[in-house]
Order: sequence, then C-alpha cells, then structure tokens
Amino acid sequence: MLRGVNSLTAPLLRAPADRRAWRRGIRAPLAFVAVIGAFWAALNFHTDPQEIFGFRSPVIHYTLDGPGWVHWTFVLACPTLVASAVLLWIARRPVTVTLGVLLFAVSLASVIGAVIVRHNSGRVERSELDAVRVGASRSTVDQLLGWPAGHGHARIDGERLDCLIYVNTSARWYRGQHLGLCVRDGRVVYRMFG
Amino acid sequence: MNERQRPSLRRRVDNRLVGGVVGGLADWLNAPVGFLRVIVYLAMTPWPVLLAVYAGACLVLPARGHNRPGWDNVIALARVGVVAAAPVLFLGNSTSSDSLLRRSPELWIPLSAFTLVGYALFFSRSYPRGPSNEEARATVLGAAPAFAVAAAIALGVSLAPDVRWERGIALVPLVAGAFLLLGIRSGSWRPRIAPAVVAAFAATAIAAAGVRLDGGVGNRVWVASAAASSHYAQSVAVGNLTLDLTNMPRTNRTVNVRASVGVGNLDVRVPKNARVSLDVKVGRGVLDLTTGHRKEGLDLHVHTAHGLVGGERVPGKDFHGTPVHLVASVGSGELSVYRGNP
Repeated sequence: MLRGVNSLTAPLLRAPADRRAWRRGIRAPLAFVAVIGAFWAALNFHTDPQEIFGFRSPVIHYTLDGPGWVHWTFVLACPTLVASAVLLWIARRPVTVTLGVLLFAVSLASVIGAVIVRHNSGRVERSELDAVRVGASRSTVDQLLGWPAGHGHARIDGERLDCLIYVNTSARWYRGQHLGLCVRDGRVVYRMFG
Repeated sequence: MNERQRPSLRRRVDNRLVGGVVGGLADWLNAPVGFLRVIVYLAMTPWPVLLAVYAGACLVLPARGHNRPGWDNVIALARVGVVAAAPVLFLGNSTSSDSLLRRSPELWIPLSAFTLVGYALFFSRSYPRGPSNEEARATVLGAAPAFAVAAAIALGVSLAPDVRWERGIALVPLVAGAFLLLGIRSGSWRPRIAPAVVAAFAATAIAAAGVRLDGGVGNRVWVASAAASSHYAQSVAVGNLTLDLTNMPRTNRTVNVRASVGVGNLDVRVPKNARVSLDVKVGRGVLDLTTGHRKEGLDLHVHTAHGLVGGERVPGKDFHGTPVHLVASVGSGELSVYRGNP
C-alpha cells in the first residue's frame, strides 16, 4: 500500500463515486463530515458585534473573535475541507486519496483547535486585568494576559484606536464582564470595563 | 476492478429543480442530489454571490446530450431569475426567521421539523421532463418581446428618472398575452404559456404593491436646507432614500413632504419637536414609526393627526414645533420615520 501511495502507476481504488448508494465505503462518511466541517468553519467567519459603553465614556465596538490568526484558520480551512470532501469522494489514485485524507485531518483538526482557542483565549481573573495599567506596552499585555478574547475599536478624542478585549472570569454580573484596552503606538492609552 | 466511467459534467434537463446545475453535478459525482441541493441552498444563504455563480453555470454549462450551450441554457437562466426574484417580490422581510424563533419552543420546534421535512421532500423528489431543444427555442423566442419591453422599462427607470415608469408595466403582460394569442393561431402556443404567466404575476405583484418607479436607481441622502420652504418632494425607483429634515427651519406654516421609494428603504428623520401628520403606506415590507410601533406584512397604511408619529403618545409632552405633513410610500421595502436621528 505504501509503495502504491508513492506511485502514480499503482492500481486504481474504487471511489465512493464509483459505488452504489449505501455501499460506498468508509470514505463517504468522511466526505460528509468534511462538508459539515466546512460549514462549521464558514459559520465561524463572523462573530456578533458588541459594544462596551459607559456614562460619558467612549464606546468600544468589538467582537469576541479570539486571536487574529483564528479567523484566517477558518477562512483557509473552509475551502480545504470542501476540496478534501471532493477528493475523498472521487479520487481513485492512492496518492490523491492520501492527499484527501491528509487535508481532511489537518483542516478539521485546525477548525476544532481554532474553535477551542477562540472560546478559551482572553479569559482572565480580575486581579490579572488590574495588573495592566495605562501606559503598559503591548508586549507586556501579551505577557500578562495572553491572547485577547476579541478585537475592537473606539473613537477617542477624534482618533480611531484599536482595542483588545479580555473577558473577566471573576465578574458575577453582566456589568464588568469585559475589559477593553485601547492601544496607540504600541501602548495602552485607555482601559474600560463594560 | 469494476470501474465506473465518469460522465462529462453536463446540466440536467429532465428531473431538475431549477437550472439543473446541481443535478448535473450530482450525476457527475454519483452523489445524492438531495444532499447536494441542500448544501448549495444553505451555502447561498450567507453568500448570495453563489447565486450568481449558479446563474453563470446555467448559462455556460451545456445540457446533457449536448456539447455546447443551447436554447435550454436561456430557459435555465430564466428559471433561476424567477426563483430568485419571487421570494423578494412576494415575501421579502415579512418572513424573517426571527419571528418564528421568538415564539415558544412548543410551536417552533414542530414548525421547524415540518419545514425541514418539507425541504427534504422538495429537494429530493423527481421533477418532470424538461423541454426539447425546439420547445426551448420556441419558449425563448415567444418570451423575447415581453422581455424586451421589460428591459426597455428597466433601462428607462435608470435613464429617465422623471417618468412614472410603473404605468408602463401593464405593457409587459399585454405583449406576452398578445404573442400567446398569436401562438394559438399558429399552433405554437404551448411554450408561450410560462412566459405569459410569469409576466402576468410579476406585473400584478408590482401593481398590487403600489410600486412607484420614478426617481432613478441608487441610494440617495437628502438633507433639508436651512432656507424655508413649504414643500419638499423626493423619490427613488430602486434604492434607498434618506430624508433628513432635522435641520429644517422652524415655521408655523405646514411643511408638506412627499417621498416615495419603489423597491428599497425610505428613512425620514423629522425635527424632534415637529407636529407630524402622516399618510404613509408600504406595499410589502416593514413600516417602522418610532420605536415600538412596527408592522410587517402586505398593504400597510397609517394615517395620523398632527402631533403624533404613528400612534406615538408621550405623556406630559406636547409637540409645538413646525407642522409637517408627510406623504410617503414604499412599494417593497422598509419605511421608517424617526424623531431626530436614530
């Protein structure tokens, strides 16, 4: 089999597309899972916009989208999963079947990993949040709090600033659940709980 | 090995749901067509661009048994147009899933189950025989005059915005009907029924919704100037129109405002203290007159006296500002009236 994988002249396999319904073999349910996984990835392209606002304070518009790379993981994984579904369904050569299985495994694992990271990143205790003061550098924020739970922006004194959002796991009420840290020139210039 | 010969990728003509593209893809992949239809339908909901891809495939993908696109490709494209336009024309915003999900679980769970079963049956069942090449040719040529009139009206809507083009819509079913009658005389009437029926339905829907097709195409924001005037009139045929009257100078004379949008949204912002009287109607869509007064559906009318905006009553507050009489209509879309800026 391994010799066959490495050779384009290996005997052809029977693809699910070549078989009768309900007799398509193990690759058919894998292709089905790949299509569902592609939808799952697509559903994660966008997250609901939210706002932090307070009395006489600037409004921070944000989404809990996790670290920046998570979005691109979903964007890449969606077409990759579709491609793996097609390969699993129609491929006859062992090398293309192997490619389909690899694509399927890697992209589905990356989607699951990205979902887990998105749901767990930026969850910190109130004491950790209080350790970050105005004037702290971006690298200090990363060191103390890790990946942010989301990103946003706010207009402060007429200037649009990028903001990092963290989730306060110690909050008992809806109020004070999220902390926004707005950054200018690599330094925190504004912090606000909402 | 019992290797299956994979067929070329062709559109289905028989047993197709819309254009036969997904059916052809299912034949090519030897995959369950119902599953692929559901996947494509679900994918089109967040990405409407896929509808354009599907329409393009209808136009360029040859029918089964042919090596190049033919008359049936035009039929397939027309079927996509009808299927895509019908929900927008007849249902639009009034069938938002929010209204279903807001109801109790005892209601929406069985309703959703019935909907899913309905979709499954709709996407999986067999559909009748498609037209032959001669029938497709006769249908396309029979529909061509009515389509030419409709295209001329569409061109007129964007090039001559001062004309009330909706008055010419009746020409479309009339031309289609005339060619159907001519077909009866020559014995080729059968392929001309579908275009005539579609033209009649579309024209009836446009007339019933009271769509006004003057004012051109595109989005427009119009802000009332500081100079006093007693009459303002703005219209858009297809697009969104925002009328901002908040900077209107204060006066004791009634200011008459007329606004219309054929297909699209109309936002009217009146001064906070204005005494507003309304005569507004929406053919199909949403009527939103200040927070909490919102209607969805067909043929919505509201007529109110001075000092109110759609039944708005603010205890202990009287409006003493400029009297504004607003006459507005939206054929298909949303009409909103706000005090100040929303």
